[in-house]
Amino acid sequence: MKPAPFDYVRPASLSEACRLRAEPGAAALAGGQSLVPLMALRKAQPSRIVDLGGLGALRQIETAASGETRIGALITHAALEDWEAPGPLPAFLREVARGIAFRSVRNLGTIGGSLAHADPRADWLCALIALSARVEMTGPDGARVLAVEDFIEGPGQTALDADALVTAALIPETSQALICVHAKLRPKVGAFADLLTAAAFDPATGLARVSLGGAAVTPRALPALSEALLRGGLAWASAVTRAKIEAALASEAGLDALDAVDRRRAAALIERCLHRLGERHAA
Amino acid sequence: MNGKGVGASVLRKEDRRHLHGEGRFTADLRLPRMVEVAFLRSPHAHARIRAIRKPDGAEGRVFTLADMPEVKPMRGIAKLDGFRASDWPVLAGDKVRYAGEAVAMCIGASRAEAEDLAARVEVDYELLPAVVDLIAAQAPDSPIVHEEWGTNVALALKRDDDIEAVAASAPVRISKSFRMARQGAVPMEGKAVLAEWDARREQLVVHASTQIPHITRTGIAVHLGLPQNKVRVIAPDVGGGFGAKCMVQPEEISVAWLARHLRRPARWVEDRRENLICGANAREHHHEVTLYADREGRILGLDARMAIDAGAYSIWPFSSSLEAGMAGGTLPGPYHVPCYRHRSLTIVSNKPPLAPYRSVARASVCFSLELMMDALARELGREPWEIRMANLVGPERMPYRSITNKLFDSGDYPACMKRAVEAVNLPAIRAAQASQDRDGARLGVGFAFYSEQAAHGTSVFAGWGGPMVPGFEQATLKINPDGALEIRTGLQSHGQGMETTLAQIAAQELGIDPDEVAVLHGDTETSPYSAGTYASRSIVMGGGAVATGCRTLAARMTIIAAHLLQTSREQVTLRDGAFHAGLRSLPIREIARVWYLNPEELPEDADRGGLECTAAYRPDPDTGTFTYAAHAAVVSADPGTGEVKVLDYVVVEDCGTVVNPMVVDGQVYGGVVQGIGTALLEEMAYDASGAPSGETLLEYLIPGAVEAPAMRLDRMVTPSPWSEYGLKGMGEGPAIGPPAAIGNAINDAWRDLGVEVDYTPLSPRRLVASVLAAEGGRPAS
Repeated sequence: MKPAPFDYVRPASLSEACRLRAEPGAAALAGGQSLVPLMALRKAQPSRIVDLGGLGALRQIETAASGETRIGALITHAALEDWEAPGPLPAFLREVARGIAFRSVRNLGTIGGSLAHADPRADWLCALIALSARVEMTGPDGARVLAVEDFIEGPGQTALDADALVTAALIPETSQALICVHAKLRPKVGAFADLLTAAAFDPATGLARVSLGGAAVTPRALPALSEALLRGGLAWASAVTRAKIEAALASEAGLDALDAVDRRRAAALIERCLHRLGERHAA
Repeated sequence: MNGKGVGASVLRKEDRRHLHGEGRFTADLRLPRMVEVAFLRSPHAHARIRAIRKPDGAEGRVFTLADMPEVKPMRGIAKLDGFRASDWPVLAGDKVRYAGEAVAMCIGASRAEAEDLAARVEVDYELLPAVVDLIAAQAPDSPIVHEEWGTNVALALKRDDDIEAVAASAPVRISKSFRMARQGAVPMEGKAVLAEWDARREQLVVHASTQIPHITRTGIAVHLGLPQNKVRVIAPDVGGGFGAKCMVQPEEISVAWLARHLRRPARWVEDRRENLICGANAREHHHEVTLYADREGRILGLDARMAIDAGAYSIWPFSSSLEAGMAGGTLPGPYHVPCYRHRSLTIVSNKPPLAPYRSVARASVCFSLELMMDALARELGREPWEIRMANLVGPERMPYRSITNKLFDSGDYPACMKRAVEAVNLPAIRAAQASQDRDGARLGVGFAFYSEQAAHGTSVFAGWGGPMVPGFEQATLKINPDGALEIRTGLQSHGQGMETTLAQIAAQELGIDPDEVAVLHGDTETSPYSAGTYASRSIVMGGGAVATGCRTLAARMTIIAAHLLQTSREQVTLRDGAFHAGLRSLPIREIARVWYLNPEELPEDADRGGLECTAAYRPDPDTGTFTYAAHAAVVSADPGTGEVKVLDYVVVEDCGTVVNPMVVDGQVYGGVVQGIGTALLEEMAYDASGAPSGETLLEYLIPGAVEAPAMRLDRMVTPSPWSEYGLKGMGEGPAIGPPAAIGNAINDAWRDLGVEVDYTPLSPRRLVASVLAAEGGRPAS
């Protein structure tokens, strides 16, 4: 199919982009790797495309004095895959990026688009939640930030205001001791995952977080397992069994949509992820 | 001989243009004044159409069935007892019977504009309950797809051996049921048609992406009420078909009508969404099988009830009976089965009409039978391959007439089985299994054995009584004034490499270089009538016709050569593209020069047919060649996540004499990957309303390069006694084995867990559901 007719604008400033995006029928275009296929199927029929490609300021990665890493919304998956900065955090981001779809998608798709599109199967959501990352949104009244898990309200649902845009992902300071692993179950390479998980452990900053997302789970942190990781550390991660994780999942909130099959698969996946976390440490 | 004839791995002539992006497909063609077509398709699986309202001012750009009263509905008949035929209108009439059925045809200067117009057409539907599930469709209270029938059973085939007598005394009885999902062929190029009315010649010229240009020509002419000399079908490059392009498409008839009606060229190119939704027309079986055996593992009898979901309509020309007929006829497989009872039902539903798909019915029956064989092995505490050895038809019995009257031509089935067992190193796998970690992924090995009837002809198809029965295959050969050979065939190479392999056969016969042979196909105006390319028939049939024609021309040229060499015909031999007598020789191009340009040098008795002939060929008997193969899969299957990795895949195959080993290897690689798709990934599911689950390749998953395992191929060569050179058709077979081999491998891996899978695709969620069911002592749904 071909897209329905639409207008196209390419604003040069963020404020102009916010104003245009707020108009009825408008849709913001970043890398277009979700929006454009939906338009081609006429499942999305925006009357106006607001192309964010002119907002060069959103195409930067910076580290603030606080140690926070700020990844501009228009940074592509490929840019993160190719990001050569030293240390465990860039290495983890490279690893996550490399597993997203195919390189042709990664060349265009952006981290901001991934957040704003809020597909619960998207790789960045789980990974960023494990890192306790936040989303920066900018609107006419300036910027506000929300934890990624609070920003994502459901499949395709976010806390983004109609006249605002996602402008960055903010990752709090991590140390050189950060260990971070992600894992996903996907039926074939390049396909969307059914289930994704990530685990991050950084004794220097007190970070210990396990996340889960997928077709039937709005990406979220898993407090009970995160707490167990914080208390038991990597020794616990190395030794934890699927059965224990499966039992722990029963006590986690927000997993009601997981049926018995996906609960089992999620437990097996988290077990794999935590064991890798332990192995990574041993290595 | 130049070493490029039969048996040589020469590079494919067609690859150059494809690798350079210079192939020309229907979608590459544009004609002046051409309009683009978009079909408005029904979002509902089953509904009555109360009214269709064309947008104001666009009445001349939207066409419905009411605008084309002269177009006949397609009626794919089969002259089998009790067969119920249905009319398939090229655009929906008073009802739609599957989601995706074309309701109106809209035109525009571009496809996008045609789609904009289609979006403005209003259709008033009265929704009807949909027939979605193959089993529920047979219930007395099911909605009915074709009301006038009063049933959803289009055909019930049967065979009634005295299985009760076997059941009464058989020491072992195993009963299981199996389900195979509906899938699509998903060729790289979807369907496409570009039609124009040539006023000068008063002829419809239809470019189409088809496997069967001549049958399509007949079909378009018949359904438009035109004499066949007013229709020409051109199939340019065709990017795969796998059977899905082995039927006359409603869109081909509609667009041909449109071009004649408008007196301007019209084109429709199927997009991937249409291809997935309307092309979900393959497999979908439900089998209930009981196997009786003795304690040595010898089969005593088979009892099966097989139901096939054939979708809403009967396709033209092969009808809706093909799949069930093949299932009933091929379930006993390569084994000696002394007693067989079956019911094979063709069920209609509110889904796209079932089309032939690579290895018609056989991937499904092989899945059921081979999983039964492994179940028998488990029951008897034997290795699965040993059970097969006890039942495979041995070489001493060839040719062998099976219980369903299939005449196996040749081969050593047990030797083939043994080679596969040795290739995977079964003892090493058993040792590794014994020492593996019980917690994670587990190792399993599975085997499948099949034989594949191919290139079956008149004697087989006449029994079906469809609108078309294939007969002699013809090829037209012409040696040009410069000596270069042209071969014209009505077969349609759409990835098989026939431009190369048919040239190799000419090279074999005439000693010329295949590079100097032009194989011309894809145009009904320039080629002899042919049933086309399907049923793994082309190399046997076309190869035989080319060989026969080459010999006719060689005999004619020998007369001329003997005269020019001033010797007797008996003294003349043809080799390396030249006629030799003693030390003297005359190349073919000299004969061509004399015939065309210097006929004054011809002998008085030169054959008046000259250097051009149309030769006909049919094997005798034409009941088919039987390629056979053993497949072995080694997998790692994780019961926690449902992930299955194919670690090793072995194919030991015997397809008789091989024309080009690289081409055959390519068929094996591609077929196995397609079979892995059936086994693990491919499924078009439907909700209760009959809405399909997959509109893009994000939802409908096909294997990619990463999912293709490293395969190891081994070959045996037992020439067919009935075909030219001993060739056997083999294009479909490689897709038969993988679901069975992989299913058996998973059952082997998870034997300790009490899991026995019985469905395709073996998707991760289904597999984990089976594990949970086994843990809970419940059967998996």
